[in-house]
Amino acid sequence: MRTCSAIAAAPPEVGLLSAFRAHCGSVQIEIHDVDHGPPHCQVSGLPGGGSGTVDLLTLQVRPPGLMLPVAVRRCLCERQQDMLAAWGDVVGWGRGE
Amino acid sequence: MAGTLGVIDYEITEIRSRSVREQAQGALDSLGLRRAEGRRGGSGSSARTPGDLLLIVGDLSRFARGSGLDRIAAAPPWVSYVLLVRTQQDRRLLGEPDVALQLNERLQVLDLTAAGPSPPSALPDHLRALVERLRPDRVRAARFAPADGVLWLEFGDGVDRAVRWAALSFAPRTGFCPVSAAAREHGHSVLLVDRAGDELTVDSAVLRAEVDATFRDELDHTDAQRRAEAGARLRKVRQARGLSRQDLAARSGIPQETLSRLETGRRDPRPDTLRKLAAGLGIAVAELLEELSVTSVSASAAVGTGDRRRG
Repeated sequence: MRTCSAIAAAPPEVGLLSAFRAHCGSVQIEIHDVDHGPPHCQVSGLPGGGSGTVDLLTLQVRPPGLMLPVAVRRCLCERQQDMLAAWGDVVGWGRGE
Repeated sequence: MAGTLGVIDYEITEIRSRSVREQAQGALDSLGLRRAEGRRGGSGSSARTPGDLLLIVGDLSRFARGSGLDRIAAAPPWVSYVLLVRTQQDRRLLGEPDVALQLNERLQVLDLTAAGPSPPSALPDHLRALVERLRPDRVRAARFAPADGVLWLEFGDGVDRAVRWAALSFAPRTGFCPVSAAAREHGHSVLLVDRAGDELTVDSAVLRAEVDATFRDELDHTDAQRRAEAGARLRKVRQARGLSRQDLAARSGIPQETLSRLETGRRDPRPDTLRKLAAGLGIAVAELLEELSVTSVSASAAVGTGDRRRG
């Protein structure tokens, strides 16, 4: 896992990210170290073995129709700002407009 | 994240159980798959090319008795099968050498009778997971050769590529020198490990985009769409308060040009921008995010995640 300071100079189209990992029961929520915008996280281990992505700003889920348990959605809401910050720190956000 | 490159067609053939047939049809339709026009041979659509996939769902016993196994042998390499086992007779067929020998990733058996009655979600869940694994932005296998610094990748749609680590556009900025690589569960990312045991996870779509210009264009297009959707919601939040862009710029301290870029999806809002936006709107950041969110937590169990809370 990389530190934010080590990989902070990424262009906006492909971010190099400090990995964010959290668990909500058997469901894993994760931001990859190297990923592409817009800000999103992966969710895996959903009931039935499903997985997908969640937009960090709108919490829109892909693929459409993928069901997230209420507890997972609550966790995403609670950690939304943390995850945006984790994404933003590494791609150089938070340093003015 | 994008993954619409390539077309996945499906056929449902000779499933005796109406309920199972309907479950399969419903699941495949909900995944946005296209029903194949061609009927026989596993390559019915003349427009099908490598990168496209054909998924056939049928009864094991009917495939074993008829020409199904010949079809598998003759099918192009991008065809994937799911065969259903539902009867005692079907289960005995599993022990037959000519069937068992062909149980590979192109011939999958879902035993719906092995542990008693299966829940109605068993088949849809299995199909959903299978289709997920077949996407071009999933990595099903990865290896790294440290001697020559080459990363080998096999993607969900069967495309494989070998690429030098140093040639990947993001590699220099990571300062990472991998010695091994492996596809992670679900294929969303590849896990790289260096000599010190540090780990780096790389999104599979990023890797596909590095080796596939067509996919890169599609990924850019999809990402632009997502930014535009978020921007439109931001504009609605502003307009719901009767504020012009100029008003909000004055109240938040964010330049109008930046607001314009945010609302038209040309950039993502940074955390400090969100704080300024919330302050300009007179609400907390959490409240702003709640307003931008497409679903509410309380409604998600009933309506799923794709439904919009507000119009």
